[in-house]
Parts: sequence; C-alpha cells; structure tokens
Amino acid sequence: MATETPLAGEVDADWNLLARAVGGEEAAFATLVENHQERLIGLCSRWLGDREESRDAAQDVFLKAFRHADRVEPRGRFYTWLYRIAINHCLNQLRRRKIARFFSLQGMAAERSGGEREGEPAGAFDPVDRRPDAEQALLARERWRRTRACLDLLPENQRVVLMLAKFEGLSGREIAETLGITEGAVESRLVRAMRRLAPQEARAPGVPIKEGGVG
Amino acid sequence: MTGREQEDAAALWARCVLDKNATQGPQEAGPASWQAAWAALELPPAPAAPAGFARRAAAAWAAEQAAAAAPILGATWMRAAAAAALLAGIALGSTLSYSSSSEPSADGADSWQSTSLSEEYLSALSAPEAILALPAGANDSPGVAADEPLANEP
Repeated sequence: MATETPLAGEVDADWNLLARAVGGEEAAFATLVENHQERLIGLCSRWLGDREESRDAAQDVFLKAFRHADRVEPRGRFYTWLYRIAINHCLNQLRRRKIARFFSLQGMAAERSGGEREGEPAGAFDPVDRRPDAEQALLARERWRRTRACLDLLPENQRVVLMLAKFEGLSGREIAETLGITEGAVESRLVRAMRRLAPQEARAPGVPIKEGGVG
Repeated sequence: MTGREQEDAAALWARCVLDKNATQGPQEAGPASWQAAWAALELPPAPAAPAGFARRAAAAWAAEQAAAAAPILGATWMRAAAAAALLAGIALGSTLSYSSSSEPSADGADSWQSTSLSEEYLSALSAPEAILALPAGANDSPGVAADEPLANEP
C-alpha cells in the first residue's frame, strides 16, 4: 500500500503512475490499482456495509479516477484524492439506496411494522464471524450494529470526519486534504461528532452544541 | 469542571486523535466518556480484495475506452450512409416529379383547375344580375315552402 507521505514539494509517485495508466500503460494501471485496492475496498465496505457492493464501488471509484485524470492537478497525496472520490461515490450510493427504499413497497412495509433495526443501513451485511466462540461473535455483531446506529445519528460532514479518523486512521492534515477543508474545521467537526455520541455528562450545563458546518 | 475546561479537554482530545505524532493517544486524553465512546466504535473487518481485482478493473477500463471510441467510428459510416440515402432520395424524387409533369394528362383532368372555385364565387357575387336571376325561393332555407302542399296530403 502506498501510505508513505511525500515530503513537502515532492510529487506523489502515484500521480505519475496515473498519467502512465491513462496513457495506456497496462502495468502502471495494475500497479496503481494494487497499491490502493485494499484501502479503497475497506473504505467502501465500511460505508456501504456490503461486501459485493463495496468491491463494485471500489472498481467504479478507480474508473472515475481514470476518467477525470486529465482534469486533475497532481497536488498533494494521490490517495487523498482517491478517498475523496470514494467518499462522494459511497454517499451517492447511500442516498440512492435511501430513495429506493422510500419508494419500494418493501421499505414502506418495514417502516410500518418497525421490523427494521434502527440505525442499520438497508442491505447492511455483516460477514460471518470466524471466531470460535459463538457468544463472542454475537457480541461483536452487536457492537457493529451499535456503531452503525451511532454513526447514523451524525450529520454527514461529522460522520465523514469521524470515520476517516477512526477507521481509516487518517491524520487531521490528511482528512483536511481529502475533504478540502482546514485542519481547524476537521478538529471542530470531530469534537461536535463526539459531543453527539458520548454521554451527556461530558458536556457541562450551559455549554451549547454548535450546529452547522465549519469550513 | 467548568465549561471552559471541558472545551479545552475536548480540543486536546481531538488533537490527540488527529495528530499522529501526539504523545498521548485518544484513550489517555480528554473526557473519560469520550475515551470510552471512541474505543467502543467498531465495524466489521474489511473484506480482502478478490483475486484478479486489478485485472478486472483494467478490463472494465479497456471496455469503457473501447465503448467511448466506438460511437465516433460508427458516426462516420452512419453519417456517410445517411448522406448517400438522402442524395438517392432527392434524385429519385426529382426524377419522378419531372417525368410526371412532362407527360400530358390523357383525360384533360388538368383543365378544371384553371379557374378555382373561390374565383368563380367571387365573380358571381360581383355580378348583380346573377343574384337577380336566381329563381324564387332560392334564397330561402331549404325545405318545404309553407304554401306548398305536402306530397301525402290529400
């Protein structure tokens, strides 16, 4: 995986690979995809909650990146640009899924009966847990379900920052670069996300939660 | 803990999370409830990339490139064929119209078109004697006249 951070003023080598891949060099294409496929599939699966869909989404993200390669200015790290495309793609998928669910009879029936678990995205898929202990596996699934429910409580801009920090392990600078916002805005969004998620005793009475986006 | 202190603690915690070189981790700084909430966040492990993923992506890209190039080629021959069909249609149409106009009509069907119906009507209106010459009752509405006995009446 190409996780090495290029030094200031240094151009990420993956930008050169991208130019060569778009120019028709198959080896460059394969190297570029192999460098980033794991991270991208991971990111898409965490957003979409479905293995097959996440693989298709990751492929779509690569194709989108190649389609826009001639218009992008090679600046910063290549994978932050790729992450930006992936996040937008996943958010669009989730919106489409929400609309489809709204218009589907199945969705309406589920809403009426309240059969769907709160906070769980439609079509969420938890892989079979290979842990030998069934109880542990059950507990893990419950933790995943709770995490999804927590994340669903957050507005989109806060959820993106929290997920990039927690699950992708990006630094404040990398998140800022990915989302095209300032590092201060990243910090602010993360704090507001945690205020929503963490129990209320973390906030003293009289300290209001600031709403609205920053950056 | 005052509001100000809580704000500072929250900012410190966020910096510990976001700064990879921070001396403290998110489990050591900030409010205890945040540390617990942060640690509790967990999602299923990411699936591995399937074998041949890069090859499949390359094939999809190649197919997309080919599809993007195909309409341009198609458009060239399609345009040529459409232009040829148009020219052939024009030629056929003009030939047929020329041959039909050059042949004299056998039954003199063209003669009735020399004066149009509207022209005849206008000329009739302009001549006052034409109105006077109309037979009695010609201006009345069609039907049976009041003084005319019905055919069935005795």
